[in-house]
Amino acid sequence: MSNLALEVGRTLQPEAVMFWILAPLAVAAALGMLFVKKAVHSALLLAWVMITLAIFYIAQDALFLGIVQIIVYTGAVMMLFLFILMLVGVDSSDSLVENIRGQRPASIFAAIGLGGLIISLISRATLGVETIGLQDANSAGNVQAIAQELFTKYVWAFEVVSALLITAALGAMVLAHSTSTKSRTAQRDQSIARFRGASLATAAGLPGSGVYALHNAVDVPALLPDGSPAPTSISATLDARGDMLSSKPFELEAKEVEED
Amino acid sequence: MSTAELIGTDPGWITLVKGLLIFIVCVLATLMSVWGERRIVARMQQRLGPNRVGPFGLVQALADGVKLALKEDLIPKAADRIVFVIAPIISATTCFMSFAVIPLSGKVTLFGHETVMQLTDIPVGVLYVLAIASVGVYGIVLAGWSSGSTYPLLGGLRSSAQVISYEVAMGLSLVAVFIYSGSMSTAEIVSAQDQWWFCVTLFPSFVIYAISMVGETNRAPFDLAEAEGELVGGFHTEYSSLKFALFFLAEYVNIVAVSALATTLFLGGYHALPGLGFTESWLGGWFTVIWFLAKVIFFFFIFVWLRGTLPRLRYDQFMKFGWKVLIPFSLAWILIVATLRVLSQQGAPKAAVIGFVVGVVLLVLAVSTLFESSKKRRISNDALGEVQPPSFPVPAIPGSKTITRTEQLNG
Amino acid sequence: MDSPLTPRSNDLGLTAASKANTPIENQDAKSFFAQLAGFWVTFITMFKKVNTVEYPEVKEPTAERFHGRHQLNRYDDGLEKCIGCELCAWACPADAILVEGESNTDEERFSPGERYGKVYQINYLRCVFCGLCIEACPTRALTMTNEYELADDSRAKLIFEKEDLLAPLKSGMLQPPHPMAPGKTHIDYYRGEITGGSNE
Repeated sequence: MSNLALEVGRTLQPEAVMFWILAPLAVAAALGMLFVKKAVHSALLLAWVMITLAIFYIAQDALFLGIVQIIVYTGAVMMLFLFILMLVGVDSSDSLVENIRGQRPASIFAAIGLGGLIISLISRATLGVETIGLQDANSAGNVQAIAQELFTKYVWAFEVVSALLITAALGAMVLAHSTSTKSRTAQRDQSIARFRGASLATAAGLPGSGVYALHNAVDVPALLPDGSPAPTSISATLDARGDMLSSKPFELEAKEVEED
Repeated sequence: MSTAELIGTDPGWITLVKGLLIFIVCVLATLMSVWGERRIVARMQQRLGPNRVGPFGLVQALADGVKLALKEDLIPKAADRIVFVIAPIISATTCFMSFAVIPLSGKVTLFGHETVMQLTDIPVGVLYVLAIASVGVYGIVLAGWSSGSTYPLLGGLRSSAQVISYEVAMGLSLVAVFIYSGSMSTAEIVSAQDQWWFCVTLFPSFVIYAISMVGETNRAPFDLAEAEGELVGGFHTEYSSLKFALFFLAEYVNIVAVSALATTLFLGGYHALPGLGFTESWLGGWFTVIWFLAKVIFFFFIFVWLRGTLPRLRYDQFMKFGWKVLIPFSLAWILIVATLRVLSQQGAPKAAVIGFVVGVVLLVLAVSTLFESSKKRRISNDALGEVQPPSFPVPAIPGSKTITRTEQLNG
Repeated sequence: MDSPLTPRSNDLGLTAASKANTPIENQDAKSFFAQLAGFWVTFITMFKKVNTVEYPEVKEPTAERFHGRHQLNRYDDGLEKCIGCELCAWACPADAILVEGESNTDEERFSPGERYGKVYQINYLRCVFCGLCIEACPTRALTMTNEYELADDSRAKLIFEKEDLLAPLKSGMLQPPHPMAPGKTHIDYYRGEITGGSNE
């Protein structure tokens, strides 16, 4: 494969232009992710940051990593996030009042600590270390080089992570399907159970609303299916004034009918 | 030199010209696909398709596009305006981007410069197409969510879930192609099909890819999520004029894109039919474009044929099919292919290869026989036993022997 | 014994019903390759003759008594048959006909008899082409032609006036108003004894 790259440390003009256009956009997107009102917008801005990172990876010869970043992170992980956000509907109307005491100072402390840790780690790894680029590593081809490393030097970590993924997938399946351990009762069995209940009055189930209504005045509460007054039908104003009339709870047990 | 190096010597303006040509080809392909689909499906239903607008109705799709552009552009009140507008843009742009790595021709001369009709050739070209498809799903999901009503949201989520599921199957079916061609670059895969096309040597992969490409593009028989005429319209319910036109465009360009990918990976790309290899040098190498287009049109015809023939599958039926049938088959096939490849690369004796193949065939037969017998046993257990006839008169059970009226009347 | 209740033959000719009552022979799913036969059906249908009638290049003729546009007929000498009785307007279920009658004078005579239809309008936006007006007309003035190409682009244009609906003048007909044939009465007209010819 021919070597079309420059010496390490030199950036071609087009790549510099691309960097200086995309990098501020990525930073703005990352900041926007924190400050936008809607959760879905935040997720989309995060997806944009991931795509920008992938473009930078590809620009620096890490082709496989960049493409896989898009396929896995943007295409699968962020899609999952979006599904959850869309279905659950996290809203900005959620209360920002914190229930846990001391959470804010603790979280600020933890964030500063984490930031310091990351900065120190990265600077230890990169400051003063010579960049050698990926030309030598990619001498056999980017994919081949990764495959070589992954299946010889890092095969143990690779297999452990894949075992973890399989466990997670199995766990998700078990959690999702855990309710169907009993078989559902068939229609015939349900029907028999209805007629063998405490009294035949329960055979047809509870009546619909309004069946036992005796009044529809505004100062008489409506009845629930078991005959007791419905609390939501009581007018608070009338109740406060003492103007609500009572309605006796309706008894469902069948009275003895005298045979002549 | 290799295709990648050849493309690497292109001056910037050649790349722009190629990009423009590919864009024009895509849009023309969409117009022709819309026309072709309507005409072909109509002939399958023993009627003519559109034949009024332009000769043979060829301008119909263009007229439809102009009509859509001039329609009233509605944005629902509950819609999220920014995302509502961005979603069709994402869908439309990503489907065009898939064409960047598809080799449309062999070596040709474009304005005095020797090149190939392929915009770029990266060593992970096919993965790039998969990545673009993953980003394209965003258009569907965001369209459904940003419409601000429940049915587009549910339709969008179902559509995207389906696309993601069949993307997995598609990716797995391509692994065998990578193993056999030794590279993920589209140009190298095409050149690896000089002798035998992969649709012959890797037939199961071809079948799995063909099925998953139909599922990926939300086409019949897998189009429940946007069933025209059954549901309102799925994720694009609330979309009106030009944005709807963009979704429409995106659907057809996706069809052409997956067909082009299938052509490249399984049907030998721009290579001529075996035996007609001398045609590849006609027209200064441009005849290969005709071969490529002929194969893409063949795949498109298969898409339309499927749509005109098969009834729609239910959503859970085809999700089950995608996950429980296609993916396990793909994985098993990849194991077989990998073993065969390793055996052939390490120069194993022919007996080992034949023994392995026979072993696999026997295993498949044994598993399928076990499956069939367990299914038969399950069916016979479920069947109703003999029902005791009751002692009082009952009307005749449908399907039993027909009782003539004379017998009924005479008792 | 032949009871009146039993049919003479056992075969009642209920072939469709008897076919519906026979049990389905093979309940198993068809084999994979048999299911692929459907593709052949659609493929071969592509080459069959198409059923489409390519209007307007091909216009299939209408039935003989097709309910098309109405026509107000004339007698052989040109006088209109319509007497302005408004029975068609009363018969119309869609209220599509407007008729105003006017008396014939000796100077201005449009129809034999006392009255003629001065204003005659049919609103084709309301007309359902049921033909009840034709059944109601006592003089067979109103009939329906086979013309169905009535589409137009404004509401005003689809209210047909009397001059739009009158039958054209054939040879030997004189444009009304003109007096009845000399020496003839309206009864002669109603009996169909006027056979045209030039009248002053």
